Amino acid sequence: MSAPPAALSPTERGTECDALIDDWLGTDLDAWTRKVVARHFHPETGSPYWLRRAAGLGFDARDITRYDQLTAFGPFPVDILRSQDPADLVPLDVPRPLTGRVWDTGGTTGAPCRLFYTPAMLLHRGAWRRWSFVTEGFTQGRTWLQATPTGPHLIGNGMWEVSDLYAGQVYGVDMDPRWVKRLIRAGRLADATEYTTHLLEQVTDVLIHGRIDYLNTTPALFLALVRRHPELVAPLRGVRLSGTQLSPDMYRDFMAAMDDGICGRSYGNTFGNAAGLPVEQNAELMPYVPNYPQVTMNVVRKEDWSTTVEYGTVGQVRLTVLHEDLFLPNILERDQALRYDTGSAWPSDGVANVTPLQTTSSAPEGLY
Amino acid sequence: MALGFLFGGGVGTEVHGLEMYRAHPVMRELYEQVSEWTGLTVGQILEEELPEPQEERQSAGTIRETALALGIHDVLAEQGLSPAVLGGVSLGAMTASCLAGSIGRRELFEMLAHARHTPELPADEPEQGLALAFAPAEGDLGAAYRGEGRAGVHLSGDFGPTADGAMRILMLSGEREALDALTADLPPGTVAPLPDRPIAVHSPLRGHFRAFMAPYIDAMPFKAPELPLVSCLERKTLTTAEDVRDLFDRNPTDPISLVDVCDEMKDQGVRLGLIMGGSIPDGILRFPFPVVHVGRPEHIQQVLTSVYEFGLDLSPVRAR
Repeated sequence: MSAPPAALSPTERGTECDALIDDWLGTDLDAWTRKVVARHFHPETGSPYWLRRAAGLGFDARDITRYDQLTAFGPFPVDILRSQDPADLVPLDVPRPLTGRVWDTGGTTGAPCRLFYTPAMLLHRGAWRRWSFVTEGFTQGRTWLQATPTGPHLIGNGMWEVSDLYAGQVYGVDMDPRWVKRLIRAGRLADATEYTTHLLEQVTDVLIHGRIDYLNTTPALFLALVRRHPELVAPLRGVRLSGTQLSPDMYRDFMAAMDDGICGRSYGNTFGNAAGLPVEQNAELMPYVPNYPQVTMNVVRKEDWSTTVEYGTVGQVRLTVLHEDLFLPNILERDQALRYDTGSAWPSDGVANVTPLQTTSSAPEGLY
Repeated sequence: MALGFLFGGGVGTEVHGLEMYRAHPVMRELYEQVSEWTGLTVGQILEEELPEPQEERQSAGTIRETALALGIHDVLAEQGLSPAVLGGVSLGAMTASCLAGSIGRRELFEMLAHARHTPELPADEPEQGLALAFAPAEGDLGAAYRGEGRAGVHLSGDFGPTADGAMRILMLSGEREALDALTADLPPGTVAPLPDRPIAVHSPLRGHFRAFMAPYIDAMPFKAPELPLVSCLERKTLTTAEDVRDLFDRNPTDPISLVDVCDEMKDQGVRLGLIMGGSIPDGILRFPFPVVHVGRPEHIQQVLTSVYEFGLDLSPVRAR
């Protein structure tokens, strides 16, 4: 697992993470935007990718002063991340040669996109994950089983996040999401189910000894576990879910399946993540807030990616990544969500009820 | 953990399904059959401008929507995806009845084609129309749209809560002037007339259509559903041939409820609903189970993914 270089105790890490998050939540998004854009477009120390694109933008990126002006960049062409050297997205200000991990997206639609994460980016992700653990009620020093993709998938770095940031002991079961997607693409649902069984055998082999407090996995795998081995789910102190669809029914069933467990949620991918807020309306509304300010999410009209929909309305998720070491404006996700009004509780919009993007008409006149 | 197929109602002006038709031979075969049964050409069924006379237009439109819905069903069946529970509103309820085995495909399409012979209303009858009303999520429906008791305005449909749960969408049918007057009396945005819908469906104003179709429906060979089939006219699962015949008979004049359909499907175990064709828009409504809209070839992949992720038990019973 990758980890920032400094060897701090979990307590020191916690203090460090808390301080970082306080700073981030107090950050002015426009000022942060100026800082990140200036860094990536610095003529000598910017990122090679953006310096190459600068001349063709039709505007001087360094003139951008506000977050909402980032639409000038247009939708980010994520396809280039399938072949681009990931190092070219990282500012030259970060000493070369880069040392660290390249992470993949899931590869749902073909070859995966690849991104280099600097230690600061990994710490950012970990700090927010730790924030979720705390706010959702997970306690430090527990034993976890992480049954998620690992290897090139960033979610697998959660094992480090639990152990080094939250004093946890972590068991692991590896999952290959690309194999599942390949089976599904081929219509081989029975084979996909067989793969689920293969994973469940490994999961139950760990759970059966009764040493696991918390399980970190996908809603799909947890659903299968709840159905087939409810006796192993009941004593869990909690589950943390991300990676596949989660319906209100599933959430309620999961809560009911645990004697006294908690259910944490997150939404996102290798580009950026959002932390689950408590469910509302008996889980009919499941909101998330992005890992601000480096990650922001807007909900935009499907037919006009530059226009944000009204609160409470469904649209396509548009993700903007504003790391000091990675700038990816206007990624149009293959997801849709409700635009969630965080009010004064969060410095940016949230998203709720995330589902795969539907490319059908959304005009109310079509109701009849 | 059941897979439900949900069919919308109405006859839209947008053409749907061209990509599915071109991509799937099984759908093209169905359209050829429907052409033989109805006398319409495949082009008329698929995409050509609908005829002008009102009842003829309505008849052809219902044939188009039904062919698309059944065609998509057939495409999914090729992937091993069959419904465990069926439901629909209005025309969609009839399509669902067909797939439940209550009426044959040929009989259904011939009935829809017969409807073109419905006598047009006299020219001096008031012009009819449809509107959507946006009401508070909670409370009495009759009072919600503030049209109760107004001459010429009828509550004809309940589509249930909006996606965020904040509002509820109702359908009003009636005389166009009365709907326009109601629209003008209420705050902007409360009532939205649908200018392309000139028939006051699911209201007493369709009494003449119901009367015309009644003998035909009475002679149709209905059978008991072989799969759970839910009604759109009340909260109920239809279990007998007479239940289905009654649905067909009352459908023109009785109000529909998508809420009842979905709640009953949920009670029948539905944990994922497939919305067939373009008949119910995406993202507007809240459903009591996750839904995937199926109207284009690329949606098949989403369906398969969702079936896997929601752990659906695929029904061993094949729909018709």
